[in-house]
Amino acid sequence: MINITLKQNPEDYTIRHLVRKMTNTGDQQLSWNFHRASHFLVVTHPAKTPCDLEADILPWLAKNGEALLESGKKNADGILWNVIQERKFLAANNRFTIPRGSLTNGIPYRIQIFPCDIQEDQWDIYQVEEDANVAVIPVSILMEIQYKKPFLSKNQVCMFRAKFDVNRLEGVLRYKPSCSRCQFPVSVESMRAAREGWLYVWLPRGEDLTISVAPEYKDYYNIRIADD
Amino acid sequence: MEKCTAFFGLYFIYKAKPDGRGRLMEESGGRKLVQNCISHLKGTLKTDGGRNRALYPVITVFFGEQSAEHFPTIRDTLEINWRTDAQYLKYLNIVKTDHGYVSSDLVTGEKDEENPSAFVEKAVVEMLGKELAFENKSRTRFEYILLGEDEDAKEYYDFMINTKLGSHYNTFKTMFIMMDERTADNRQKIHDLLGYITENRTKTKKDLGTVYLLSNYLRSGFVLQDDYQLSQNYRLVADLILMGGNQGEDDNSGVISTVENFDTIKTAAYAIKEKPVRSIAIISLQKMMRNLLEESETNYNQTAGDTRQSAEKILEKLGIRGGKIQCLEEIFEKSILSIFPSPQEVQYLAFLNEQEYKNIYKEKRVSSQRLNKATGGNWNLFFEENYKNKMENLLSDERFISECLGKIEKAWRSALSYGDALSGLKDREDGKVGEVRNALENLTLASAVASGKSIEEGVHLWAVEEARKMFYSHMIQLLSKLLSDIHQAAKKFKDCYINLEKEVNKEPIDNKEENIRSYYENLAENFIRKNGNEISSDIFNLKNGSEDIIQSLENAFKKLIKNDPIYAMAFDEELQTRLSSMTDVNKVLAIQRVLEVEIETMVRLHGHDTSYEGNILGTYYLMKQGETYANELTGGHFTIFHLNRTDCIEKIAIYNLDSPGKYCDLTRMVGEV
Repeated sequence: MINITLKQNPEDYTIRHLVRKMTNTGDQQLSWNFHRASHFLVVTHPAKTPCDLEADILPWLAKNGEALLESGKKNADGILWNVIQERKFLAANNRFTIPRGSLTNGIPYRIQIFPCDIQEDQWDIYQVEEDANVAVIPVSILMEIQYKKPFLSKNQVCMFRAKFDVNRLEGVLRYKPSCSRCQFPVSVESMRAAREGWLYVWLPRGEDLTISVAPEYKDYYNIRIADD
Repeated sequence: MEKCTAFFGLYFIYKAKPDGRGRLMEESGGRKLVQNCISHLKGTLKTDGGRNRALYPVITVFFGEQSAEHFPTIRDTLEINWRTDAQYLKYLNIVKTDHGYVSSDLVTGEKDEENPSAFVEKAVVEMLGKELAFENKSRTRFEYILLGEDEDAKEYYDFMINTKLGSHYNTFKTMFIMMDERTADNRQKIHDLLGYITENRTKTKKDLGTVYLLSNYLRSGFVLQDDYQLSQNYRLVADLILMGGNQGEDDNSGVISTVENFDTIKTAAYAIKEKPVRSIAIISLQKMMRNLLEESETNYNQTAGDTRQSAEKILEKLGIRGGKIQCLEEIFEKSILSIFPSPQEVQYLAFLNEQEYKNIYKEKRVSSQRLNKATGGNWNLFFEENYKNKMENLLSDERFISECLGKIEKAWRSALSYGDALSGLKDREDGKVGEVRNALENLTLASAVASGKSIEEGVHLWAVEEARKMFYSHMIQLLSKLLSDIHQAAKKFKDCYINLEKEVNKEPIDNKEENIRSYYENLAENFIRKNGNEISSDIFNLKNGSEDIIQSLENAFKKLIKNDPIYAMAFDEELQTRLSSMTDVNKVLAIQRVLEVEIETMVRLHGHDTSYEGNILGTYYLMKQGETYANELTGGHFTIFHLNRTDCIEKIAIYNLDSPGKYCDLTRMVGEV
């Protein structure tokens, strides 16, 4: 049984200049600077699933920490857990790689890195200020938009659909007609029920429609409009 | 703690009195109210057009902080009599500190901490520079007022003696030593000062001028105690200053030489029969306050009806009727409605297909559920984001809610009378909320949904109505709390009023005259009977704080004293009117009872030595020209000194304490040590 202590020491135990990039092979490569740490705990979880240090991470570690330390990595309930020794991290030129196959496609991930001081059964985990230890792997949503202009009508029909697994888009998508001051959230239910996913919006001729991501998910999704 | 506040050019001194436990007890303004009412009443008094003027420039110096408290009494008397000249008179306060003296001008507030003599000289020069003021500038009169029991009295006395302005200006010095003989400690200090003066008489002969000893312990054994009685001695001082340098229609040279002299120690006897301005003001105010409170509560109980009727009337006043609350409706209309989308926005909802869209627009009226189905849940999301969430955000905006409550409170406090708030909003005896709050808390909101002209408008109005329900639900508890607060405010208001009334009732009045109370209570009662409603609505207004109550009561008092000419009458006219049922002989007797007692008993000294009683220098009646009482005076051993004021007759006898060719022992003039 390990003993975990949550500590705050933003001066010594820090994560700085955290950068994520995708390699040519599709792996996710993370690099960061630090001042002191014997290990790093890296938690990679689906971005829309809350993963709080005190509420989620520490209880899981209390049960599985020993095994994690032994194996260095563990995948449980869609969350990827890694513990990296300082020595190995330095040897890799301050880089850590998450292989392509260990993450599910189409799901944005949030990666939290905590500097640790692990001495036998004693784990000191340090909190890092202002999300300097957080990186995100975003996902692009491909959208198709078409306009139909019925003959002699003042209006046009704007049709749009997501070329994406819509079941994963609960609360994510919204649109704004250029003639309106409102944002219109798009329900998953409507995207599922619509034939081939096409939704229909009636707009005055000359107006158009912009698709966007809800503010709370804007770091996790990008909108890409398909060419006609 | 003492405050000195200027008000209409007069200065009032308020004191917080220590309570029984030695702490300072704050007053709620009763004294201020009384002082202001007295001042309003004085302001209405007719003045005599007499031609008194200040013959010489006069500078009055108050030694020590406490003596300066009586500055208004001195200034009032001189202002009434010397009018234009009085504005150029100087009143200085000199206070000894650990490091020297602090001098200040009591009128302008100007201060000096360096050289008190220079400060005094500057004041003299300023007076002499007034071209049209004062009949004669060849002499400047210095009037010093010193409390005999002051710790620093000897230093002040020396300061008076050693101020050598005489070589530059022809000065005439008079010092009034005010003796508060209420405690043995005070008597000892006064004894020490008088011993010091006696010892130095020969040395100070050239610089002494006149010294008056004026004690609060009278020859008769009566001790002047409260502020009002003590102020009589300062009134006497003011009269002596007036008599010592007055240019009037009469030849005052004899009076001047009696009042002021070189190297003499004097005292005076004093009696005053005045229009009982203070008593009139206090009695009228007391009666007015009592009747107003009673009337406001009686009126409410008469008009309110039973609890249910009363509650209905209050709900009506609050605009709570027909399942709506007027003020919430107004706020919703003016400040909330605009945060929602316009009905036209609804037409941009995303539909599942073209057919659903067409079907919807074929129907005359579409429910929220129907639209939601056609849009695959998009309508619900749109409603939540653009109506529900916006409403919730607004309701959690403390500033917005506080502004709403502020507006409502203002409106409700204006709408509710004091009686409504005090009696109509109180909780039931079993502790449950009263009828009004109960009706508010259980309000069934009337539906305001109208069928819209279009599909969009119909669903928009439904959404707005949902938001309105949220608004009502959130606000009703707050409004119930607000009503409770208003009720508490009314209780507090009543406490404040009652405290004020208690303070007014505590103010000392001269009750010796028989019918002042009954006469003026009757006037006040009649006035309130006729004008009570209007005045009540001004005073018993929930918007009023304690300062407002005081102001409203002052306004009511001003109306009262305008209502009957007796308030503005001169002393003798008021007496004639008030004692109309009394025979002329008895009216004269009423004055004589005060003025024609053995004058020796009114001497302002109570020491062992009474040998000065034979050294009477003059007896003076101070009264307005044409005063009828003058006809009642017989014998030739008095002089009439005409006053410009019409509210009193005063009698002053001046005694020389020194025997011919022999200095007196001043220590024998103080009571037993």
